[in-house]
Amino acid sequence: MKQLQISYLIGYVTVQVKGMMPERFFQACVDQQLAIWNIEKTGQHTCIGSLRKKDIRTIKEMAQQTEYSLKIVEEKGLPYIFKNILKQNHLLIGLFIAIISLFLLSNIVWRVEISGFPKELEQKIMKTLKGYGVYPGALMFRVDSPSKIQQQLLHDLPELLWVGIEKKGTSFQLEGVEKIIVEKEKQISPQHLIAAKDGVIQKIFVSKGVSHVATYDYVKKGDLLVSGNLLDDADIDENEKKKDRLVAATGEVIAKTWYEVDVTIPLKGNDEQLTGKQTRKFYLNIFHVDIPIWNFSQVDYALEKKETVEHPLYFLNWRLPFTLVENVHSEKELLSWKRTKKTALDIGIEQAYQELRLLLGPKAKILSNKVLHEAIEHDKVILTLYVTVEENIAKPQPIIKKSEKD
Amino acid sequence: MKKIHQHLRQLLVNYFSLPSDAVMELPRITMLGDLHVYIENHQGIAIFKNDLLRLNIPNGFIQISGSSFKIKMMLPEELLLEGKIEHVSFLSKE
Repeated sequence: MKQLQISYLIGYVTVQVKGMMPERFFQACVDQQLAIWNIEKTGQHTCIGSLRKKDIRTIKEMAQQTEYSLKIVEEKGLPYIFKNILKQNHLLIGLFIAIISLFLLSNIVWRVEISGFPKELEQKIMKTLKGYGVYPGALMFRVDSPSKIQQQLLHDLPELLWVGIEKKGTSFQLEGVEKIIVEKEKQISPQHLIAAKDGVIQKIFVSKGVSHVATYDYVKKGDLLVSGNLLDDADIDENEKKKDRLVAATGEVIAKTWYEVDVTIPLKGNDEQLTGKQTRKFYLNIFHVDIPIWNFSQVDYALEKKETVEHPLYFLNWRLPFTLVENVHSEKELLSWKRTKKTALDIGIEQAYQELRLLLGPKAKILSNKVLHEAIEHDKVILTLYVTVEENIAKPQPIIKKSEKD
Repeated sequence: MKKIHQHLRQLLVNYFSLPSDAVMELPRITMLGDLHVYIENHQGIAIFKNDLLRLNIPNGFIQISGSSFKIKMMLPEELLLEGKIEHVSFLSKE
């Protein structure tokens, strides 16, 4: 019986042998070391018997050499079942569709879970994520890698102190800590305000401390502007002078300052510019071989910029050994330009202003400029500019016990 | 010559107590009621019909008769017969 079960797995056939004394034929088979079972005489000259699938060829050859005729009556076992399944096209197509849909479904973002945030922020994160293309129903290979999203999210939402994104199969799990912006009452130690730069004072706003300078005073770097010692005031009685009354001097001292800025502006040059024409091509990368699967058109841009993005593919939880590669070909063109000296000058000044703004921050106000020196060398305009700026020059300086006694 | 051989085998069986079926090339027949006959050490089928099976043995045939015979399994020197068995007889060649 056990043998029968194994036979079922590897497949067996029932054959009908026709000829004089058919049992002799089976005897010959058995002499050839073939296993035969269920032999039955069905007629005067016919006999049926079962044998393994792999022995069919041998028995056919033997039948050809003798005068017996062979006919396969029945095929049984798993191999034949598979064969029948393969013969049924609709079943195969169904299976194919099932695998394809399973594959597609495993490459779709099903859930985005956010934990550790209040409801309000959660909504905001959801919205931002949607902007990145991370939402339930999005295709997985259109989504950036978690670490990239993480960085972007931290950059776009300043309320987040930290956020961790984990991709678990078809769902994204977000965990994070909200940045609680606490207006910390800074316990400022007693301080003076001193000048950070040379300049002519324009306006003084003191909220704490005693002002030591007046408008239109010229101050040098390091000069005391606002004292933190309230007793520096000359109007106070002698008696009270003995006690220390130190505060943290705060305020703004707006002064005119001057800067010399050197800028170099080329008079001509070459630029690359994207024309906006774009072709996307998709490849299936299997073992480092790219097989094109979408957009077979030839890219015939004279100049192009190629960007390659690789998207890993998943089947259920397993990462497949091939990836979807997206190539974005963007057409670019070379622009060569020339500038007149005058435009170069304007650009130079604008560039100098920008440099200063970057250096001084948004509060500084640029008042005027003057070209000190101007030269043309190797198709470049070299400018030295003298710029007048209005800015806050107050800089805190902590009061050290000893110095205040002096 | 053959006689001497036969004698020698007989001696082997008697003195060394070896199993007689192996040494003497005799068929071993095992029966399970009247349902199964299991024959080892035969030399092939001579005749097989629904109601008769004749097997070659060194000096003759084994003939089994009955009804609705079916060979359940067949290996080079073994055979399992299924059916309703009525007679098992030995026929000598002459």
